[in-house]
Amino acid sequence: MDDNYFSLNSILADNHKLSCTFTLDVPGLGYLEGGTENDIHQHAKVELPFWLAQTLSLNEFTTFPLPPPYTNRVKSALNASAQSVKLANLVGGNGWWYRWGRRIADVLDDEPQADLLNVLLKAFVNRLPALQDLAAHHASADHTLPENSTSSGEAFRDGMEGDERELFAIGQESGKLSKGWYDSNSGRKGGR
Amino acid sequence: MYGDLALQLVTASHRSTLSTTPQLPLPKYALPLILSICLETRQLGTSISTAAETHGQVSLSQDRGLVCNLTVQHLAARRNKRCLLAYLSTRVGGVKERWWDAGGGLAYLLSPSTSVAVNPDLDAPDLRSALSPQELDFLRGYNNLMLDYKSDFLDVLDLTAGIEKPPGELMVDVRVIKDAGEVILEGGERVEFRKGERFRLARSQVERLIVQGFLEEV
Repeated sequence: MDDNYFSLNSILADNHKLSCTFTLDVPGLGYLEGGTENDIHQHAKVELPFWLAQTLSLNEFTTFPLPPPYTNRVKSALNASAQSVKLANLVGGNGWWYRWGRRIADVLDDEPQADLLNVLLKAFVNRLPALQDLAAHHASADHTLPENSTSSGEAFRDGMEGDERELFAIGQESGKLSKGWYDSNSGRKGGR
Repeated sequence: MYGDLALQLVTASHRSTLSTTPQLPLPKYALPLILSICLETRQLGTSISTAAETHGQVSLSQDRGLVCNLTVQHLAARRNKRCLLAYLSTRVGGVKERWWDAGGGLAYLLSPSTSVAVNPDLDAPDLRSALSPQELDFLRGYNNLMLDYKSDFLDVLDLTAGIEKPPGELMVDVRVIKDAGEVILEGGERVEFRKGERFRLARSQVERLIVQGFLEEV
């Protein structure tokens, strides 16, 4: 998970919307609310992309509650069974659950920060075996079964977030490469 | 809202990098979009400096509302900059990748007929028309730099040769899979490569043509 300045993934992950509350009146920022009003008022709730919300919150112009994908409800669900939580659905199908969580953790104070990071880490560790397993066996899995979307593998695949999908693709690709290497080796030996 | 155009640029660029095999043709340099992002950024800059000037030092340290407003504009401008730079950097990466895929053959890379699947829907049928003048300059410069670098040890190692199969012998049997016309080899002999013909030649002489997909090892 690179957090490079030039990383397109990281730019897109910074665009997740955060529901912020302004702590003061600001003249001339009405366009953030999307309305026709010119000014923004104290306690106004606005959906801001993270790249705005971060600095504004650090300077205490805005505050935000922990966004829904990282609340206690999700945390208990992850504790119960990390593999059956659909992270993708939490961050809008095409999002980056881990990246965004880490960015939010940057803004939080010590205790909730450690808390959130812990949730992220535990979720990742608990989901990794399933991910690895799926990447290694997805190609050879039996797809002749009738559209059985309740099978745990397929359900997990649907719930993968951005970086997990990337890992999955890497896993599949490397499986293919090593298989190709084995085949070419035995073929050459047999030929001689 | 500010930053939306830049996001559009990055999203499109991200989509085009998702599938690398088979490699998509490099999309056309998005000049109009880039210009409008630059314009937006410049407007933000003007707006910030006029606001700062008219309000003066004192209110900058006291008027929190004003500071917040300026911060938002500043962040939007920085966001635009980051998106633009990331876009360019991604494209430069793509250009380099194509240079290596073509075995360092600049002329081959830029000739109009090279795009294997000529797609009439695309607004940029070949690499030359997809690049901006600056990117073209970069490609030429990169090419010169690499040639210069690899020429020092070309007698023992050709950096741009493919590495999928280590060479087993000096001579190689090849079949022509794409017409290459008449080619003058290093030894001075002329060979006419026509589709379907077979040759037995020194590997070092036809390495480049194999990498570029004109010949195929048998």
